[in-house]
Amino acid sequence: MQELQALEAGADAGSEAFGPLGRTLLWMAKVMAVIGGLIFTGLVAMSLVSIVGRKLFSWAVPGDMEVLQMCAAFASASFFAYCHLIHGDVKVDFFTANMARRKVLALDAIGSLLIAVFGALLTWRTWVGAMAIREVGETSPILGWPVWVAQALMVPGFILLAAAGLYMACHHLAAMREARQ
Amino acid sequence: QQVVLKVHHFLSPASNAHQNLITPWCEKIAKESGDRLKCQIYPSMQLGGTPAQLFDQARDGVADIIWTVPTYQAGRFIKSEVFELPFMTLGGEASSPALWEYIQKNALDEFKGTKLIFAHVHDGAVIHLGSKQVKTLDDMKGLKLRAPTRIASKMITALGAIPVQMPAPAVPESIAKGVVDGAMIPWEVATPLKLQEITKVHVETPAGEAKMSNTIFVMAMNQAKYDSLPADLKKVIDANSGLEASRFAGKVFDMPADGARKIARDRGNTFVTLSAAEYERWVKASAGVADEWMKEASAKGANGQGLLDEARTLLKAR
Amino acid sequence: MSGFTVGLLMFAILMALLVVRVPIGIAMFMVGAGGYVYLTDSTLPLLNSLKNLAYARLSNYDIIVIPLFLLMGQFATHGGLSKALFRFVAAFMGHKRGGMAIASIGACAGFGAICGSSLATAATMGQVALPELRRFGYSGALSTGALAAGGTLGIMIPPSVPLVIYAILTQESIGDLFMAAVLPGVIAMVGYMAVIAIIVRINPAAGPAGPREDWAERLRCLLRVLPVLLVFVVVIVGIYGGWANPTEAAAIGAAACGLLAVISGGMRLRGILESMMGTAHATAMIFLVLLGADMLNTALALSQLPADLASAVKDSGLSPMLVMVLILVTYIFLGCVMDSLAMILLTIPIFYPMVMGLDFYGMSHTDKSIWFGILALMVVEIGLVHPPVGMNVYIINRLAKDVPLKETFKGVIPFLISDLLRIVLLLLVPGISLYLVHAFK
Ligand code: NA
Ligand code: NA
Repeated sequence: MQELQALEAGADAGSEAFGPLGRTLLWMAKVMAVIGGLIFTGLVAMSLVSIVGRKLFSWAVPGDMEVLQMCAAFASASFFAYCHLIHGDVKVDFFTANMARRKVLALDAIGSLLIAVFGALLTWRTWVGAMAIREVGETSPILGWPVWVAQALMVPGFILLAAAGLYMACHHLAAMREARQ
Repeated sequence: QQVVLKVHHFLSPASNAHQNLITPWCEKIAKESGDRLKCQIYPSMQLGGTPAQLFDQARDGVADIIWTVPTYQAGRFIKSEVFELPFMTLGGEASSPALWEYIQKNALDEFKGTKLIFAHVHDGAVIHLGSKQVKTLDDMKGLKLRAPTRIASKMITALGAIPVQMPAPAVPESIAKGVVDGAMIPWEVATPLKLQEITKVHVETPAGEAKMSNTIFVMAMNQAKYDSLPADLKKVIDANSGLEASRFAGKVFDMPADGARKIARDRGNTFVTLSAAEYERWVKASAGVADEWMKEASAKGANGQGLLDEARTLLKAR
Repeated sequence: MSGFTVGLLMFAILMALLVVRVPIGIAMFMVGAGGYVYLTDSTLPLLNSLKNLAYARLSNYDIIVIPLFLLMGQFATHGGLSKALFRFVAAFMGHKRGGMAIASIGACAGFGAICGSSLATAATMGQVALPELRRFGYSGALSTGALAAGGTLGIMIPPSVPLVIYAILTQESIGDLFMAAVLPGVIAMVGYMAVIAIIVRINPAAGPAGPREDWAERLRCLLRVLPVLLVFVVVIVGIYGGWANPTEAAAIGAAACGLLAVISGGMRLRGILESMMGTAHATAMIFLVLLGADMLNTALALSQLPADLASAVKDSGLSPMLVMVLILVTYIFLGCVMDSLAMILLTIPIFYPMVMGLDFYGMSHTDKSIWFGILALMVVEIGLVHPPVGMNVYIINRLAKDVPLKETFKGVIPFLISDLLRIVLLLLVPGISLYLVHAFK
């Protein structure tokens, strides 16, 4: 029930068994998570201004909807690495509950490796997609902001996710070797 | 052997476009090709992505054929967008051939990578209001109206009202609950949204004059897929593309209007037709939207004024 | 290989990946991507569709409601609103036999009204209520069982993350689904309270009476809980009164809970940072599964499996009710091993077209869709508490160090019975789900 451990440990999860590289990654992931959270908090404030303005003064933040959409994409993408580093992914652990720890660690290494593949694939394709949008000059409807920027801003989150997956795969393998000895 | 075409669009299988335009078009090419062309239609964005991404899905071959509103991708189809300007179009059947011709002459580069099958507009946007009355331009002041397109947002602002963005399905609830006072939306979708039950007033332009606003639609095919077809199947696609296909598509979007008006009449709703003098005031008040569009088009290296004139001429010729 | 076979094969491989602990979202993504490449006979369409997959999903206006509701729940947790809720109900009910447990259910329902997640509700209310229940001598089975079951009110009472997902998958209105969940959610709460009343009647030692609070104390507790009520009312009235759409209402709720947490709950920098990271964790957990489901659902649509299955069921001549019961039973089995959200994402593309193709009580398309959404929510919620996986049970059991897991599962059984009775009721009387939706149209 690793998911549970993550849930209980909250902000302090992870780090304990990490080496310097892992601690750095976790620190970066936390910073990105907090940045993402602050962006959502900012969006909350903007929505509030817009709702009150619309109701009381017949005025709304221009293009509030598109700002919300563009910023939320960036903020959400910056959450993924943190979730993986604290073992936060949803998995079915029913079938492996009584399996030897060594085997479970091997399986988790594969899972993390797949996460790395996923992160790398999204990094690559999201970037290519952003460049394609840039070329055709898509903008947001009201404010005319370039959409490619919003899409490109998601890329750092995916890079960090790929790195987190790779690191966790190695981390699980190391733990497995330890468990064998 | 049989060629299966993946046809992707964003509306539900119950929509007018799905039932009376896309499905019949597919049946027609199936029949004319002796069932060697077969569509597999994926409605409601089943193949993933957003409506704004549909055009690129056709260009990239994620789908073989798409039907969409290209201007959902703001800033990309500037030249074609001229047909969305205020007080331009007359209605689907009347104005869609002009759109087709205009694109062929001036804006084909915007659709590069695809073979355009047809292009059309709807029967023209109407202002539907919950309880407020609008008879003159002055009544528009401060009204909150749902805007269908980015150009319509500018127009609503120019008329003194406040544009609110929202997808069409959210419109009835928003009007019923007073989030907006009304919506600019064509009759074509009024009936499926049951808009006649929620709204009481429908504001239209005088008969024979241009509609307030419109939206452009295209059906486009992946160019490589088209090129890969044997000559006789290409011919079937060609025979169902172009000016007449565009006219037909426009007509499909005109068809529901009479029935939709009748439902509103039967409910005792009020129909407001702008007087000739009022119409002139509205046109004048929103003239700045076209100016702004011309500036944007020119910034992209096109001749804004020339394109606008050409579009007007083509529309008048019909 | 026919598309149908490919679709089935995809499911088989997915199950195999899940068994070996591949994160659910990643397993769905990999299987979906593989199926997509197989069905299109080339990697190019896949690579092209991936160009915008993440942006399309994460910039979706409706989906933003999820992080906002999660943020709201985090603020509520870190601002101590849960404690005020429990004290309030306990002040009124605590002196009765089983009253403290009943108070926990009431507090769970109250917290559920400002929190969209079941695990968060169970964890938060568990921390607050469990020590009190044990202090007053409640049995381990009753106290942990009640809290595990009470936690499910977190998703049964709106706002509710699984309902948001259902609404997005089926293009239904989030507001309507929330409204439809209100009565069933209240029935769930009342049902759990009744279960407690019956248990203490049979076994008075399980839930002894606590001290009686005087009216001055009750009033004080009421004053402290008023802000929570206010937040709920603002959010619900915001949505139904036309002030705001669900995304905006969630923003209002988050702002209100954040302010409350800072002003009356004493939330400081650490609490704020923890709220951010808690939101990040929960959001990423959900969105990863969503991205995977997008890929899988696209591949499934290409395979035509859902459409073929739906028409097969329609033509089979099976009675609609039988089909529905089979679907619900499938959910209960899936719930043995799977997470509620993954269940919704995995099965709705398959089951939804089936249900929509059948006739139930002559209901309209929208009514049927809302009714099925509530039924699906109610059965996936059961998966949170029934053995062997039951996440809520584990969460609560961890908090109660002296109660063996077996006892907690035993304690949950009576609540499961009330769950089943409620589902039968909702199945037979769709009006319970639909009444408020129609009344507020
Ligand atoms: Na809730
Ligand atoms: Na479970």
